Amino acid sequence: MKTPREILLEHHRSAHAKLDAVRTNALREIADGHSAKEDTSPNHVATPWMFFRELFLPARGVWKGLAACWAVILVLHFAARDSSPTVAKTLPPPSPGMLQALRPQQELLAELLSGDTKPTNAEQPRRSHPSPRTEIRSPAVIA
Amino acid sequence: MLGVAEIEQLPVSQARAGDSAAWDTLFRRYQRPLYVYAFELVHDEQASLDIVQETFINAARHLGSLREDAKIGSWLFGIAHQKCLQRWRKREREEMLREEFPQTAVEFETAPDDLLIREEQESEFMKLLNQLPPPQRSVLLLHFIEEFSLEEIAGITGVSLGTVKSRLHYAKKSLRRLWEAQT
Repeated sequence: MKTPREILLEHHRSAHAKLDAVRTNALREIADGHSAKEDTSPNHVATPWMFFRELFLPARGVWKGLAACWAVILVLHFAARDSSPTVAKTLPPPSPGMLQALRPQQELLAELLSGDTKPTNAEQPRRSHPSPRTEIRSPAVIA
Repeated sequence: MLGVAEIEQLPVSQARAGDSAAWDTLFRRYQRPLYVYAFELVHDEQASLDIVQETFINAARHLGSLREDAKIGSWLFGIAHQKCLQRWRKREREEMLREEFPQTAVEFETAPDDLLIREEQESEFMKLLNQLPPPQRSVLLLHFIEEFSLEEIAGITGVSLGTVKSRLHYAKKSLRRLWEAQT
């Protein structure tokens, strides 16, 4: 006499070899999974390449965008710095007419600085008188 | 009543720590019961072997979600049951949906070992078992193979305790009726 459990297990005894193969496969897959997990464990991240991968690869697009922005900023910066002397160099020399117009102004400036000229009568500033106070009322109004 | 798995000391915590020898012990313990359960439900050798392997791999991936180490057996059968359901859904969706059981809570009075079968009747027993509808067969197999409690069977199959009681009651009743008709 047997229990249902005994009957069921014995009925499938022939699958034993195949089940051993299944177990071996499962164990191998689990071992592979564990080794893959160990590769990404923090101890292994310490190597520079792993650090780079952990830091940059997950947000590759963001880093590319930032790099492009910095590249544009640097290009603009150097372009601005290089252009200022070239602008000065490419300016044309002042024309004789302009030099002639500047001459009276230079003479006037020289006169002012030398102090020989008498000061012109400048209009004296008006002394402001206070306006009559409104508190002083006429006696007629009081009466 | 203690289940078959509950009286054993299984290296679940070692397996959780990644000990391959512990996994080997667990797999050896459960490979045939899981295979029997899967085969008796899907009736396909290769599919049953696939279910066992997928169950082991899933178990290794998600062992962290197992709260009580003592429940490893019902947890593994729960995974296998889900795999069987996926196969059923492909093949016998209509049959699964058709079957309805009364939800009355029937007290289950007999232990699995109470049913003893003579050697010459073994093949008859297997035939009769396969005549049961899959939900009843599933509950009966879990009861026979691992002597799971009703609560555990409810957890494995994802149905209420009342439904498990009802299914088990009707499964045993059907089995007895078929048995008597044969003999």
